[in-house]
Amino acid sequence: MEQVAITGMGLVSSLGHELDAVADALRHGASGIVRDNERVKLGFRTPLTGSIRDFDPAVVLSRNERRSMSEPALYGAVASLRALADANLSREKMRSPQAGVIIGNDSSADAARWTADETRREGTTRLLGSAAVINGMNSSPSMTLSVLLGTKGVCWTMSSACASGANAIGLGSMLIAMGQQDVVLVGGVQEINWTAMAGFDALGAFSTWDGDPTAASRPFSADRAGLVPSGGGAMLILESMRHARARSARIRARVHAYTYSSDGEHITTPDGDGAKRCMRSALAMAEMCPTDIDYVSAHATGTPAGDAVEALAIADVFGDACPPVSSTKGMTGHECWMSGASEVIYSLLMAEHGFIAANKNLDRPDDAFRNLNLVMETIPMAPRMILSNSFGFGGTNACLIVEAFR
Amino acid sequence: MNDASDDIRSRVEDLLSEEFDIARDLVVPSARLKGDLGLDSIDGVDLLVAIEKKLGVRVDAGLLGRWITVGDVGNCVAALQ
Repeated sequence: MEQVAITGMGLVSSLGHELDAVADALRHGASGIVRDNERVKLGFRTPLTGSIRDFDPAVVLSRNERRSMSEPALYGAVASLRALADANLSREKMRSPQAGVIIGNDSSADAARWTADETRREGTTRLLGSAAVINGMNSSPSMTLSVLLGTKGVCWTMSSACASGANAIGLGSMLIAMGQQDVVLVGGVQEINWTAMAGFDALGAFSTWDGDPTAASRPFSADRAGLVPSGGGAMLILESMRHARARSARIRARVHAYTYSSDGEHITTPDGDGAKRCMRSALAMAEMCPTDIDYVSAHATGTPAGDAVEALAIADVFGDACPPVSSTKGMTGHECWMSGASEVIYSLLMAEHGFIAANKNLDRPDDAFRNLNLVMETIPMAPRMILSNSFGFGGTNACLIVEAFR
Repeated sequence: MNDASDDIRSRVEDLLSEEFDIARDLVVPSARLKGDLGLDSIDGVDLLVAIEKKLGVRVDAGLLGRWITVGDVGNCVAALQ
């Protein structure tokens, strides 16, 4: 089996675009959350959302390159170009049957809304243009990225709710470990427009925090009242260790384990058993014990039920050896399909810059979580071995263990 | 030819330049849509939409296959306006 290396990372995040800037934001507990007044007019229960600032894909993508890209595809493409630059990997190297793309994505809602609105308004499909079909496909981000880079290998979209990004990393890791691919661009994307979030808003899962929007996302807090939706793009370059070393690449990290499980119980309420099985399987696959883990990047989104179930699952798996635990969603909001990928990047940025980020807005932890080693203030310690949790709707779970190389 | 026809041909050239990010001085009547300007079949779909929305001329999609050069597009739109 080949060892799997992470050699590049790229972001389009509510916390920023450049890796160093995002690291600084994580260290200081910045927030990417704003109020969107359009959502108020549309009758949303909450106007809170993550916001991508200063994003202009035309700077790096021509009109022709952008023509078939939906909003999440644009996030993925720009994040991918940044990841390639970070890996010092030329686009020419991606034009190979041994190179591919796997992106976690689970919606292209705004493109579907636009197509329906335009068809009704014009009374014909004739004026939809060429982009409507591609933009509306869930696989728009992976197929347009493959065409952009000319990859000849795998080209898949992985849809598994809020575990999509983690599962994309996992699938890419499996292909590389088995020797079927040398390089795979993996990650996750999440559209941030209101269309994608209307149904979620209706479910009552969002925080309706009425004060400072930057204080609204409160994972693990006693007064948490729901998640804040967010989005963007997070892409990583996975390579076989052999391939990476042959080109003298900077090895950012090694993927030690990728595991998955399902609750098989309720469509939106996690049962905790699937999460525990997933974490324990990851430790077993990596041949590690709980004390080997330096940091748990929790999935915790700020919902009363989800955080409680994950907290108890972590406490059960780690017992008295609980490492520092934090959720970056207090800063970013819930990046949904993208989160499993972005949170690996955020964790590796912590490792590179020598800290563990605190749980933003965690003034008073829930009493039920006292057995958990929740990070209250930024810890000036670089985590080496990181467990990243992703637990999605439908009870779909994924865990990754990555070792950061400094 | 008359002034109106020349004007619509010029507007077709402007539209091709703007819609497809092509330098305006390359969009001349003799330029081939595929060979010289790099347009493909799905650009053709978008060209029909742009002509109808911006110039108010509806063109049957069946005519697309007959367009080889920029001049062909301009002449067709001029005839239909």
